[in-house]
Amino acid sequence: MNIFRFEMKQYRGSILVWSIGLVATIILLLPMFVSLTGDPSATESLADNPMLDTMGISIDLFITTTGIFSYLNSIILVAAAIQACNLGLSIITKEHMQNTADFLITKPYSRTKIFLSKLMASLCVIAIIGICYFLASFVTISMISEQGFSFSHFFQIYLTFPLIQLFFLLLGIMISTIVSRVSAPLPLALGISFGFYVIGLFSNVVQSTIARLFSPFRYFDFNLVLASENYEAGYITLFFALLLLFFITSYITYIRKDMKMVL
Amino acid sequence: MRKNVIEIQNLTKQYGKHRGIDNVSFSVKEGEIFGFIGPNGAGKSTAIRTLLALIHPTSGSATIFGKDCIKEAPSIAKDVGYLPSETFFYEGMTVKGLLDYTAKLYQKDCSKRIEELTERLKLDTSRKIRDLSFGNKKKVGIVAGLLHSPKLIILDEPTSGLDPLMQDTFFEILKEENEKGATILFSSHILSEIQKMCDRVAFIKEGKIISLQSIHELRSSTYKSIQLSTKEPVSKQVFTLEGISEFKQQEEEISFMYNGNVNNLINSFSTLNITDIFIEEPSLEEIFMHYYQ
Repeated sequence: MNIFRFEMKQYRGSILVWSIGLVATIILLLPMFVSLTGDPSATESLADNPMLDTMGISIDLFITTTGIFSYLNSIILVAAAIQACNLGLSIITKEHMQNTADFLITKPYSRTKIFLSKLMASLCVIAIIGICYFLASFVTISMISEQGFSFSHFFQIYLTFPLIQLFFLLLGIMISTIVSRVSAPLPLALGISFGFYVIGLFSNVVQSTIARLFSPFRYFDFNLVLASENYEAGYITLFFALLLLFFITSYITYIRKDMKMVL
Repeated sequence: MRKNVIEIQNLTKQYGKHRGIDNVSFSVKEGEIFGFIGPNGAGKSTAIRTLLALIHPTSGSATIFGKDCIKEAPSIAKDVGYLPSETFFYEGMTVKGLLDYTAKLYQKDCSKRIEELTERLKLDTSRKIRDLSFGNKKKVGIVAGLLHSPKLIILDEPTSGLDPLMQDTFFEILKEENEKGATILFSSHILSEIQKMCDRVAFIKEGKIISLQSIHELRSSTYKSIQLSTKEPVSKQVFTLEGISEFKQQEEEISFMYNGNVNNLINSFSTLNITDIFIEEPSLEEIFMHYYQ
């Protein structure tokens, strides 16, 4: 518990900044987009918009508040991915960058315990941010939906936020256990997240199912969720298989790793 | 008979093509101060880091308190204090915060011990780690390594950065811990420290233990340091006796190391007109140079 508490304390500022940023984004943008698209002529003007096609967004989404939320959410997911990937990259590598790995590992805690404490702390960080985002989204959408909204649709779209965070967190942790010394985790997190996002956009443009496999952003098709209230089983299986792969690889690498000497 | 606190058997660590340590074996007895000496890059830190489970051995085994160093590392760590050559801590924390966190990691109330050690080492606990000098960070390392009163203290080049007065205080603290029963593994390349502190010493060279002796044995062993002054310059041919090494001559002043029967040596001097003679135990420096040349 001591390592967990210590890590949580270290990330207080980060939790606060990211939560405020994401909450403010959804509170400000959702009502604004809903009011803009309330006018049918505005929605019509968006028809056959290549940008929306690239993003995999159907014009039909703009008819409902949940649809508009799903559009904004698909953009916010990039920020969520950056935050989670940065957290995953830094929570292990910071010990190597500050040369404190020796200090921690020579204390009476097994590497399994250290790894799990850090993993739990990072999961808590993304959970807190995820809950803040959920509350802000739910309250905002409840307030602006005059004719009510489908909670089930809303929740399934929202759920992509913590799921994408989880994916990029575990991916970041896996990279950090393999590489050890990452001097600038944020630019790397930006690169990884945008990289996957661009692959997702590319898969939309060329309608390639193979390219889609390489972008977690495209594992959840919002159009399909809104139409059928379901994720696609194949992609969900792949998603969780990758999470498991990231976790197992990170854990085994961390347990077996030689801690490099400070020179 | 005192039991072994550390037992290392044929320990080998290779880093790809690079050598770390090769077939290292030695043991450290309970209550002993054991010196581990060798030049930089000889493998001292590699051996210590394997003992602390920071790195995994390629082959061989090491136990501390009879427990496997890798498999039972967390249980061993409860009673081990480690002071590395360079100490690094969380820069944003205060000294007090760091020491309290360290005590929490050992799950012990160490407040009295922290107070006592910080006072003796004149360490200001309100300052942030990032604002401390190298020497003060070292002091934090000493307190963090000793605050839980460990049964085994592992020191890897511990005095770098400490001024001579602080070094004396540090050695005093170590001696007190040793008198209370703590075993100490002291790695250094500074021979005077080893000479001052240790009971036994292992010499390591290029990853291999080349000698393991008690300090007393080492210094009083067959090697003698001889210095002669003669009335007139003497021919080098007089000093052909077997066992003479590191012969140096500056006109009437002669010095060399001798390993053999002293009577034979004295007899070989009978033809010389000697004004002064010193037969001494060699300093560790001389022994060190002898081993490493």
